[in-house]
Amino acid sequence: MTKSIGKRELAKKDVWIQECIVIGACFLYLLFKIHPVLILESHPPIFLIDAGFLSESLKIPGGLTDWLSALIMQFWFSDFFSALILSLCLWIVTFLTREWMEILYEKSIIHTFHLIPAALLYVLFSRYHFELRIIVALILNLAALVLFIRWAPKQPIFRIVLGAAITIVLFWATGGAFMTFTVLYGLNELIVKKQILSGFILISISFLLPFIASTFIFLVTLKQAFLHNQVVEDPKELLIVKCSVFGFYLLVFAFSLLIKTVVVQKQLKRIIRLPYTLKLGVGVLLLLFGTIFLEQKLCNPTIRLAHEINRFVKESRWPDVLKSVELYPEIVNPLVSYHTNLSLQQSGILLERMFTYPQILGTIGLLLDYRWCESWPEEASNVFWKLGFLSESQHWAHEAFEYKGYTPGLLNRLGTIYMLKGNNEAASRYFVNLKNIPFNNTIAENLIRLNTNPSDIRQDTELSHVQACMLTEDIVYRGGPSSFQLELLLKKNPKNKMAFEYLMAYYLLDGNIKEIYSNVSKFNLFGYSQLPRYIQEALIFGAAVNQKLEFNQVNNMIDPFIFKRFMEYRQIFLNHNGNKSIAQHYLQKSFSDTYWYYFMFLKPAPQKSENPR
Amino acid sequence: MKIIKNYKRCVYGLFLIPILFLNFCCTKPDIPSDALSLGRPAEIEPDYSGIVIPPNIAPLNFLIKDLGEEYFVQIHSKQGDPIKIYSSSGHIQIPLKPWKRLLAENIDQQLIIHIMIKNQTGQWAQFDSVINQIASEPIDGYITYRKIGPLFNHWGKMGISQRCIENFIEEPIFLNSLTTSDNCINCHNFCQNRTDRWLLHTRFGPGTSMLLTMNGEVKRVNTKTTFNGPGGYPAWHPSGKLIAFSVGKPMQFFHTSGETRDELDRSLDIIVYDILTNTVTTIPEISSPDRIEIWPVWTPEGQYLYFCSAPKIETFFIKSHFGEDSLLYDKIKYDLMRISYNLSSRTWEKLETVLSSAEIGLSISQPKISPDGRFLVFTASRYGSFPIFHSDADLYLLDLKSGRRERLALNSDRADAYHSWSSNSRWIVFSSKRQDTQFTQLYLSHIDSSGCSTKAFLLSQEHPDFYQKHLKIFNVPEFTKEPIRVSPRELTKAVFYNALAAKLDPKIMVTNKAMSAAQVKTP
Repeated sequence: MTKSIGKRELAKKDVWIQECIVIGACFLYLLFKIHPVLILESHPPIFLIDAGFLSESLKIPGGLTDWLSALIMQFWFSDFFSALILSLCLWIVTFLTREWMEILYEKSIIHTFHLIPAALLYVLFSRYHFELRIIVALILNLAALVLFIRWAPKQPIFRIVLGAAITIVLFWATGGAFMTFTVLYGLNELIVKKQILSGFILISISFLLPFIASTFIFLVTLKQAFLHNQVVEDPKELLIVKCSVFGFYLLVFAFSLLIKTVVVQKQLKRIIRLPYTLKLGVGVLLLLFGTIFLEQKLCNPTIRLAHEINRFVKESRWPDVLKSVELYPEIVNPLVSYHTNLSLQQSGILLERMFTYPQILGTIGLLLDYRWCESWPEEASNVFWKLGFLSESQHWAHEAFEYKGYTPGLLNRLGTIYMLKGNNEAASRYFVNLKNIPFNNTIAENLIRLNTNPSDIRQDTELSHVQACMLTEDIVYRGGPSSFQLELLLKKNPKNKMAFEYLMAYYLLDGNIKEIYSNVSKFNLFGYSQLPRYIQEALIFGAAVNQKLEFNQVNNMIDPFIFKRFMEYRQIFLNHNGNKSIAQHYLQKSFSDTYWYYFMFLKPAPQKSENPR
Repeated sequence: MKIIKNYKRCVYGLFLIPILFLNFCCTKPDIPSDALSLGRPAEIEPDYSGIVIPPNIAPLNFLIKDLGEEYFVQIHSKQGDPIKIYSSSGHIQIPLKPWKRLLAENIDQQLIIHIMIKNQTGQWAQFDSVINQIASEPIDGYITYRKIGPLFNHWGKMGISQRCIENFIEEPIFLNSLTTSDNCINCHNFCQNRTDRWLLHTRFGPGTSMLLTMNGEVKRVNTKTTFNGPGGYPAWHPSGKLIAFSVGKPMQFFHTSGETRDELDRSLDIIVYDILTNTVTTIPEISSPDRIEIWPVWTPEGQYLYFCSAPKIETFFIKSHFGEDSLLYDKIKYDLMRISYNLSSRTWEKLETVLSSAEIGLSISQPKISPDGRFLVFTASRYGSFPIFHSDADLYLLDLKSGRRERLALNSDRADAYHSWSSNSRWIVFSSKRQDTQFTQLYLSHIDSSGCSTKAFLLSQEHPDFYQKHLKIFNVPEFTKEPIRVSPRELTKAVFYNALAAKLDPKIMVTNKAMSAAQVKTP
């Protein structure tokens, strides 16, 4: 007896070690490969330290879980903290799953299989759109399940009443995820304990309660009542993986019944004979490799790249943006192009290096168009902010606010815009809300101080720069971003370097070499000792294709190396009798980074500026 | 025995501690009767000083912005017990029942608010008293409005809510989260301030149509026909049998400074929907291809339809020297028109210009007539028909009896626009951006029988600091005398009903298939 207890203790220790290895490996993989902090780019949490915010959360089933997970995500500072929190949550899921399985399988030592839900959840998280509240809801329901199974009253009537009460509380607290508790406990009652009445009641409640709640109590749809905080809440992506999480628990339950049959027991005895360490080791390897394989298969590098770049842009890590883009040259996406061009400009090399990166989207990759601004309004707002085009920055920040809500970034942005526009009362509302977000008190206090003493704004470099660039003359416009807006900015502040470089880049992408030539004299205003590479390339190209430029007009502005290179380009083209499709194949090898190649082969057709309505 | 004694002591002690604690907390400070007078009014927010208030309004909770250690507020009138409030934060929340009692006992009397402040040295000082007037006329008990963010094009969650003015209860009437967030909900409108006949519109999502509620039954009606798009701004005929709508498309544009958003109208017309026959009709006088017609409103006896009219938008496009279209948006000014209507014969008569934009120098929009038929209040701004975006927008009163016209005293130097009359014609609620030029809030004002308005005051909220952090706007306020009796769930269900398609009056010949260029010709 003592020997078997001792053996059991050792086995349990081994299971702990197994869990530590798997969860630890997940933590490291999250930290170095997945970067869970990027989840904030997908769905930033909304949380306010405000009684009104909490009371609004409590008005919908699952709102408390949403509130709790939003609070936890306030500590999502960095990859380390976010990986730690996530790994902790996954470990809790693992622990509770094991506890439940141990109850089901009575004397057996549970190992390996109880890690499957955590592995599946880990895969779901690697896609960034999966939400922490779903895991929190799962934890609460599993905890309730384990505790209730262990400590439920023996008398059936009390068990039913208490079970129903817990079900109702879990529904209100965790939303549709309450079905994890009711279905599993109900099946336990029905099939294992043969308590038909209590099992039937609990399972019935799991289907009736959302219906009753959405019809009579809460102002939510039936779908929301059933699905909120369930793993399968959003069925659009990875449905099989999501279903597998809940399916795992049902399978475990079914297997606990099958295991009692003689046939299955005979088969199991063969496996049981294997050395214990071998079983654990194989389990660890299968789990780790299986999870990594699944994650690699299902991951979307475009999403990861876009989120990474977003993060780098927010932190002004321009070289990192360019490095990430260089790693995935095949990914061509308006947002990626948009941020690439922003990073090039902020690094001072836009007009020197822009065509070394894919620019096949033309001007849309520089300023987006209306449609793409609608898809990424916060990003659009950020670039307009840097340009000093406050009204457009305000426009897109408001659009983003409707999508994302009370995020610190948007509250800060909107408050600051209103402050710079002189609307201090409106600004104050945003700053007061910003102050109610954890860890934003200092920023909010500083902004409130600036808002109260507008003369202090000139001490802030960024704000005073934007203030110097912002348009004060009232001009109306419609449609999406265009060169017109950049021209307005330059008219207001001829020293707005970003606006100037963006305008030149716009003309390059649009093929408007005539305008480039008209602005050549302005480059020395911005400290250019010589014309940037692509401006030179555009000028020589313009002269060659007779864009109302003569060679002698541009000769002295062109670097001899660029001139020589252009001649080589021209020669290759002429060697193929001007046949573009054949020449392209030869030109691509050595000249794909030139403006000439872009103009001839990659420049998209001009787009009509969309009307917003 | 000793143990029992000690146990009893512990129990008594446990009960005593909270009692002592509460007593300590509730101990009123000694307010000296000869407190120093500061000789100025307190800085309170919202500004509830010098106003006329209805006798049935909820407490006017406010914040004292002057810094102090403690505050004491006493509210009293001629009759009844004064209300005394102590606060350490400056947040003054007036208890509901004593407030209601005080107001009910002092109709047509002054309401005086004394405010005292204790400084760091422990000295109490008194501000100048706030003196308000309690009106004899009550206000309609409910305001229905839409709460949205300061939107540009896109919206997230939005909803129509109804607020009881007599307390702070706000109930949701319809939420777009109950259908999908794609829905925009707007243009709620009530027949004669009653909720037995009312409507709202859902757009851009499931159930795009009008939800028409008649005596508790909700119908889904699609007012789109071969002539017109779905109905827009509505106006109930007092009979409850007809609804006039303006139909057409707005056009958004932007400014580089000041208020960024702006809106103009393209090809708007007015149609009249007959509920009984499910027919849409119109006439060239209210659907002219050369003009834009918008903001219909019926007179209380139903004899006239008033509306605003301007030349069509194409008139204001000019070619710039670059060959691009340039819009002279600030030249677009609307006139106030009216046309007489005979309900029994369903015939229209003379079209008249009531007030031209040239006469007033401003563009006229959003006319509303008081239920007693005496006054018409409209919004006037420099151009256009969407005045909430214009800081110069003000409310004007037109005396329909004498023709006198004046700018109401309740205006501010910021946008004051869309309003609604109470059923007794003595109160209006209107939208104003006077607080911060960005967030539209609701203000109330008393209008007497001669058309004079009093100082407007902000609709009060339970928490005095509500407006300091609220990031939504209150849109399209409408008074009702009673609550809406249809539940949000019933309205949601109706969204998924089959829509009753309105028929176009056969008298109307649509001469051009393109909706925007459709012309009305009646034989």
